[in-house]
Amino acid sequence: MRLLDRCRIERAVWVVDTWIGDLPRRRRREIREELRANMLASAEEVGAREAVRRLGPLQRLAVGYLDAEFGDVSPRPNWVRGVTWALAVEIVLLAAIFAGMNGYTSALDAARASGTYDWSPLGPLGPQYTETRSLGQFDGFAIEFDFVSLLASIGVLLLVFVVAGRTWRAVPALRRQ
Amino acid sequence: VLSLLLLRLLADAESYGYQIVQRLRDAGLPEISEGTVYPALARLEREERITARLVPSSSGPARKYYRLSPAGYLALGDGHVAWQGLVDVVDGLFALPVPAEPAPPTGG
Repeated sequence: MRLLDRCRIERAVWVVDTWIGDLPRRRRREIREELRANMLASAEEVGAREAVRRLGPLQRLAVGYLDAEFGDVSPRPNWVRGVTWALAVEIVLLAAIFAGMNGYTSALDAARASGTYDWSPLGPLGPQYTETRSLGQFDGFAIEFDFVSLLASIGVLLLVFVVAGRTWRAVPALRRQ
Repeated sequence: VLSLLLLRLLADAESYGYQIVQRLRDAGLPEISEGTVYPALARLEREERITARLVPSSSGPARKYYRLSPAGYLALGDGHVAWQGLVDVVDGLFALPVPAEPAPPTGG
């Protein structure tokens, strides 16, 4: 087979693979391999260009694979939706932390506290808020976020994201059972 | 209907995707698209009506051959009965002569 023909087939496989990005990785690989084998068989008879044409619109083919895999499961697992949710959770978490800092300062004000006070709402995974006070008045503050904590918090977020994503993907299989 | 045809063809012989498309074309569906058949096979496999195995090919990568599962045979039987019922209804209607004019409305 000519290199150009092979490229035509690989391009079609790649386009379909891009559209089915929400499927589990192993299933995507199976589809790629099967599609490639079928297209090579077709190209042997009618040529690569015609083999690609006979697939029809590649996006429609990919949607067909998604429909076949997910059936009537709604909402379907979706990377964009997953990342959007992760960002939303992060924003809400940060807003809650800042609200907590504000409340912490208010509590120290109410107590007319003096000295240095630390507050770490997420323990070692989050920032440490330090407030300095003298004569019962606010004097200054610092927010520390060291590199290890940053990595650990990203790791925990990724872990939660992966576990939630895997659970979500298991829903179609569980429903089928 | 396509699922029923696929089950029927696979009941005859274990086949891989492109081969099934060829068999459908030979059976009288020359315009059928691979893009329609491949997802339909994926759906039947998900529904466990067909099973698949990889068979090495001398002319390229391994091909995925499909065959009916026990559930597939049941679905084929049920589907055939349902299809035959539909055919009987349609045949019954088309067996009547077509009047030159539709009848006027009856009742209130």
